[in-house]
Amino acid sequence: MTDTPSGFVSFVSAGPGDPGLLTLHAVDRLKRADAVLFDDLASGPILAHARADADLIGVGKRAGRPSPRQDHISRLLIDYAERGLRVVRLKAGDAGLFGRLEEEIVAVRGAGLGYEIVPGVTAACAAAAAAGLPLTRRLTARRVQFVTGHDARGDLPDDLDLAALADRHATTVVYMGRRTFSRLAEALMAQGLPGDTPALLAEAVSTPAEHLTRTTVHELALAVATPPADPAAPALILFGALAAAEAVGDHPVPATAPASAHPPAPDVRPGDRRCRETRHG
Amino acid sequence: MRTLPINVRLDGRTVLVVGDGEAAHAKLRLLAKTPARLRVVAPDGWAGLGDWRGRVEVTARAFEPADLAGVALVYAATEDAAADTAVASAARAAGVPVNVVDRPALCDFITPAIVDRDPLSIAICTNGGAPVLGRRLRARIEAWLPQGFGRLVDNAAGFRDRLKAVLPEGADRRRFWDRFFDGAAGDDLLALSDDALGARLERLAQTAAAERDQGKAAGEAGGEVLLVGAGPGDPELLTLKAHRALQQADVIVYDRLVSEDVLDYARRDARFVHVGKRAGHPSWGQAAINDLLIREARAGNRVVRLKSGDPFVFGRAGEEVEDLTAAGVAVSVVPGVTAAAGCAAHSLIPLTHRDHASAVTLVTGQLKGGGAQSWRGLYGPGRTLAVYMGVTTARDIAQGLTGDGAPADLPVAIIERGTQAGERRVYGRLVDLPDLVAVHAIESPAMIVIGEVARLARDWPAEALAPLFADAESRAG
Ligand SMILES: C[S@@+](CC[C@H](N)C(=O)[O-])C[C@H]1O[C@@H](n2cnc3c(N)ncnc32)[C@H](O)[C@@H]1O
Repeated sequence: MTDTPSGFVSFVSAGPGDPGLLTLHAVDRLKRADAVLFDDLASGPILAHARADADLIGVGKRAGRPSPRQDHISRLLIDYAERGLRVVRLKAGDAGLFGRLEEEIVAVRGAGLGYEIVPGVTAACAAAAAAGLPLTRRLTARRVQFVTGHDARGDLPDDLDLAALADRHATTVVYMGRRTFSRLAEALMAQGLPGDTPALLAEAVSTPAEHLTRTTVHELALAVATPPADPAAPALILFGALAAAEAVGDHPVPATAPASAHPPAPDVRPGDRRCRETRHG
Repeated sequence: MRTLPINVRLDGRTVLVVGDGEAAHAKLRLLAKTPARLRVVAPDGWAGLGDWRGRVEVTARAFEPADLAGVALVYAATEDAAADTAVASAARAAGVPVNVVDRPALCDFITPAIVDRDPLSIAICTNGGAPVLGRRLRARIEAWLPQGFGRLVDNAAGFRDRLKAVLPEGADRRRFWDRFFDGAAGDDLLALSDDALGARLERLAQTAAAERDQGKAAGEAGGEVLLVGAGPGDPELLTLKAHRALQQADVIVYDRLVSEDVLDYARRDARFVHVGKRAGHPSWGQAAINDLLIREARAGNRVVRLKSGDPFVFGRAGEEVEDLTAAGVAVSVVPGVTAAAGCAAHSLIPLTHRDHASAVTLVTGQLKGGGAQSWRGLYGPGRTLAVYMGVTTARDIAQGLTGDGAPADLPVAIIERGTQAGERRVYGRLVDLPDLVAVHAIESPAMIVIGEVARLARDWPAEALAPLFADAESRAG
């Protein structure tokens, strides 16, 4: 455990939501923080680790809601740190993965302040663990690729490598991609990705509202057309060589599931995380 | 560990303090909390020791070696260097452990900073290196640890015999205590009266016994396997859940990649099974590992299968999960910090970047039994590649990617033993990757991060390539 000097910013990964998935390092940083700037997704019970007299400042960035300007957040970080305080910037999941760290880092560096990044459990790993689906697998899933479905303009990024995403020897995880998924799926199917490729919609992973839906790319593309019950709930989409999908878990998706305009019934519920039985398809 | 912390029983035994100054008083204040018989040898007799009447026995003269007869521990606190040294050598000759105030070199034992929640005690010792730091740590623990903790221990101690009667199996009792103390960090248990605590203990014990009987009737042994991500090596990167699983495990099955430091965070009397390749030991096949996990779980044990990083990222945990579920063993997975995230964070590299990396691909450099990894189609502008197990195939990686259009001077970071003691970071251009690995004799485990973001590394050699953030910096400026 190293002692951080004063006037220091720790970019701390809060993990996917379950307070038990904080790292010991993150807890340590929260306990010593004089100020904690947090996103909505990284709040709740996690903040209980902060000292009672620490300043807790919500700078919520969340889908479907205007958020404080980025330069305002950077300004706050610097103001606190320049007063010699220990500042924690709490980010959902792993801070280095789609955490939009760069602008804040540039600002902190520019102010000549020290900083660190405390890594964490990214939502993809938590979703995989909850569903019992390995992200990689010898022979079938030789790599895992993380992409965002939501670029700086809020659109499907135009630099997505569709050929790579349509590769059936890979597992693909789309962060923040529910709203744009029908378009992505359409483009991928045009690239030759079979519509019956297994997919998993993972919502509010590792929280009490967790909801895992085993489905297929085609079905999911239709289902996401219906707005979700809670548009603010974070969602992750996994598809590709979810190799163990047929072997582990409760209800394998039939290869030719009928397409439906409604979201498919949930297969796995919170508190039901154990893989209980095997059905080799 | 330079010294061994132990707790010494002092009921009915004698502790001798030589001296009557402030140092002696300080020691007496501490010793008076123990049941020891206290003796003081000081030339002025009671003159300086009035406060201790009734608690200590005083001999009014200078120290003599004969004073050590029947003494368990001696403190030299005369505040006179020569006199203290004499006490120390007499003690050593007589085989009585001695502590000389403020002279660590002469001490057989050191008095730590102590948090006292009798019967619970916590000792903090910097081995003379930084006593002030020790005291500050103590103050933190004092503030954090509620006063009622000692009472909790007393109540637990009082219930041990009764519990043995209700739950004769050691493993059942361990589980019982874990469950009981799960609430202990909260004020929950501490707020209860002794009677209420007793009632809660009894109720929980009955529930545990009933559950055990039900489990037996249903033919389950109640064991389970937790596949736990250990993170990249720094034990502070364990999640709270992983830490708890390690603390509650009966059996811990791990391999070569899991760092020793992480194992130090596990329950000491768990059974540790090393199933990795080791010199002089036959290596375990996957089937043998799976059999072991099944056998231990069926025997009713809580089995932790510890995997480095995240179990589901190049961890081959899929096969274990399948076999275990097929065998009807309860399995759950605790995700962890994968090596790419851990290594990148330590180097201050964000894996994604709004302008320079909208995608990250985790890929393995080695395909066991599956032929060569194809490096085609992996590179693209705005993509970061994190290569696991890429040390031996560095040449293929560099050639494959450049052959597929990746720029020769694409930044790469190699992080060997990321987040662990002895972490090394090496940087350069993609074309130089094989040379970097060879020249720096990079060994497994190492993470190779390829992409523009590598330039952000904290110790990226500035002269190597232009700064990534030139544009962003001028915007923010
Ligand atoms: C069999 S894979 C296991 C990966 C693990 N499941 C994870 O999520 O990080 C082993 C490879 O992970 C990478 N790795 C694991 N720990 C590492 C560390 N501390 N530093 C650098 N690389 C590491 C290396 O590439 C190593 O060869």
